[in-house]
Amino acid sequence: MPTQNDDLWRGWESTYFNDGGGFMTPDISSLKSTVAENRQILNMLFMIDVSGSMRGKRIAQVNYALENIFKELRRRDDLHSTIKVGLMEFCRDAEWITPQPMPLDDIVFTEIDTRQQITCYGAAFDRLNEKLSREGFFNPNLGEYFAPLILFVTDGEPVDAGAYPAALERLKRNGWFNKASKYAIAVGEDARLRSVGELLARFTGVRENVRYADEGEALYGLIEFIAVRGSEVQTSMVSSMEDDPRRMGSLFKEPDPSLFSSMFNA
Amino acid sequence: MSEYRIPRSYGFAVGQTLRAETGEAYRITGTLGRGGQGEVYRVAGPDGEYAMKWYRKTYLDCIDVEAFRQNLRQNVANGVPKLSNGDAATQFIWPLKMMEARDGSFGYLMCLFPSGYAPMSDVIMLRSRDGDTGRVVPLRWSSWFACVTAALNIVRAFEILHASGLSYQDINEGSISVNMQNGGVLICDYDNVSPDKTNLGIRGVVTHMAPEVLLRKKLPDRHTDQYSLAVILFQLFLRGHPMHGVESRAIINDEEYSQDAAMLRIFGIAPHYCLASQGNRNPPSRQVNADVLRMCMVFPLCLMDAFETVFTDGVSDPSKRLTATEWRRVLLQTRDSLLVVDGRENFYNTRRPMPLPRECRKLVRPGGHEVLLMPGKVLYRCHLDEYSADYSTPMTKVIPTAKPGVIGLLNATGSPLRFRFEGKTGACPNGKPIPLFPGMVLELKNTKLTIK
Repeated sequence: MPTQNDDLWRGWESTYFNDGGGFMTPDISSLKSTVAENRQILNMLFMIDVSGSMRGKRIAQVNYALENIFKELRRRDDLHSTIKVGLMEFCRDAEWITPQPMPLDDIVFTEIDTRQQITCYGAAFDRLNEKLSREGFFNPNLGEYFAPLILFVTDGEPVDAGAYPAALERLKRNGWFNKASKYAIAVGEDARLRSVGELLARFTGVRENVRYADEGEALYGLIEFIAVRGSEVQTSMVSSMEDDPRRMGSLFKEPDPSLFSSMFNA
Repeated sequence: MSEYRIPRSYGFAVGQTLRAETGEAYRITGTLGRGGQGEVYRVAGPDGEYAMKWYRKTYLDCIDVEAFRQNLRQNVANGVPKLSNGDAATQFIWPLKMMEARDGSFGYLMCLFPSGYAPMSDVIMLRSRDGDTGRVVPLRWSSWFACVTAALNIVRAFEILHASGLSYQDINEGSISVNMQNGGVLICDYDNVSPDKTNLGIRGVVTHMAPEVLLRKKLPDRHTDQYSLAVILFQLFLRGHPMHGVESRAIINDEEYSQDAAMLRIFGIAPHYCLASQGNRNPPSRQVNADVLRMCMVFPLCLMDAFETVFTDGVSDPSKRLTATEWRRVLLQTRDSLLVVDGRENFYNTRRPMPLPRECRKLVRPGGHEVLLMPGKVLYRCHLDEYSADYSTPMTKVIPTAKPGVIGLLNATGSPLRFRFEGKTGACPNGKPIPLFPGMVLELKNTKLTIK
């Protein structure tokens, strides 16, 4: 019988029942569940360029998109996953607005503002690298984690050409970074350069994941698409023996002709 | 540049009319929801109101549409699975009528979902979230009796389905809704229900798939349904996953594993039962699997042993998995180990049971199945007829007697209840009570019941 000679159970018994008495069945109507708090965590990390050129419509669209996404995702209540959000602002320096990723329920969205500074990627890559670790956003004592979803939004070529390549190399040696689904959006005409596209493709690791958005509604829609659809794909439990091509590759490989512009076929 | 928007509107508008293949027109009166496969509308027609599921064309593009449609048509024609004795799997919200194809897609009609049912995922979390406001509302079971009855209703539906020669092939908690007041169950998404050993391309949800399906050694069938069914029951009672523990947690949090490789290892290559009584490599984590740790002490051993058999030996040997019929027996034994004492429900036959009340008696059915008896306990048809699977129709009730420490049975079976006790025989007429003494044998039709 499976319940005979059972060390594990005996251990629990001595832990939970040292009074020698029987176990009273708990009242079912007063039971509380910890399932919701212990769901596997999807860290969704947004890296937002807040350099001066993002001022105006661009940052306003990013703010609008983030506010809506958080509301949209909050309505989901999946048994297997819960989403936490990390927000980074970068320009010359980079800073996580969220010291730890926050549950959607706890987020009080504060609009992101721009600074009169230039765009650098190096600091952003390094701050990301620090947090993609057990000491950072993936503390195993705090939960179980899906491969994260990272979205990088910028509107210009970085000026720190001497610094960012080394920072990117460091990032590429990070296991959580390699495991992550990474997307980048280049905003506006100034960012529509092949050199920017190639650089962002090195960040995402997949060329299809670098998308271009002009200043129309596309930016809002694109951020929303990546966050909402991407979170569904990252946490999907639908069967797959091989690595899910969307999770490991791109949402944009789906045969949907109405998807946004790629940086490479615009 | 074309722009993609996450669709916020449904494919059909309220007021549009679609026609069933049988000719009747149905007008769309509202929307009910949408998912990966398609959208569900409320419709009204000449024979009343229904729900209409309409498939997304992008979903149909990924499957063998003709085989899928033909299978659905066959399910409509056959009707809800039913046994020769008349027992029907009414838990399934079965397809009633096929709708005519339009713009490369099609759908079907089914009954509207009644109110009072919560998605099983919410039932496991004991909370629900309002889709509009995002507000979280706690959910509560009315009783342990209702909880075990819900499990009985789930397995009974699959028992009838399997006995009808069909298999479900994609059992997961997303298809099941539960009434937490009375244990009622509704099961939808039967799109892939097909004759056993026939597969339309579905493989299932990783967490619920039998390992051999996940490893692509086999396509889903009745045996793999049995594995998924055990996962569902474990979730319902233990509020966790049988393969989630400290080992699985380390794999999930290992950045060297891709997400899919981690899932494949945990659920396919090396599934390790978290409550395995011997050689356990994957015990529940006190933090993440707190509910499993708490609940595993609550239930009778017959239930916990059944889980252990399926999730240890049954992982690699499908013949060790309990059939739905075996699950029904285990669950009935579980429910029969429940007593209300001083107004409080208590499971007995557990690993550390409370002492039984002095006046408690046991009714032993053929095969050794024991029913604990205390005043207020209702006996169902299956208790008094060894060939019946009916755990819902009340037949008789245990009552107190005037003598302290002695309980009785009110014969409401509709027939005389014959008895033998200390060498004497007699019959208790229908509608009359009879005291119960250890050693007494009750006979109803051809079933002999012993009192202990």
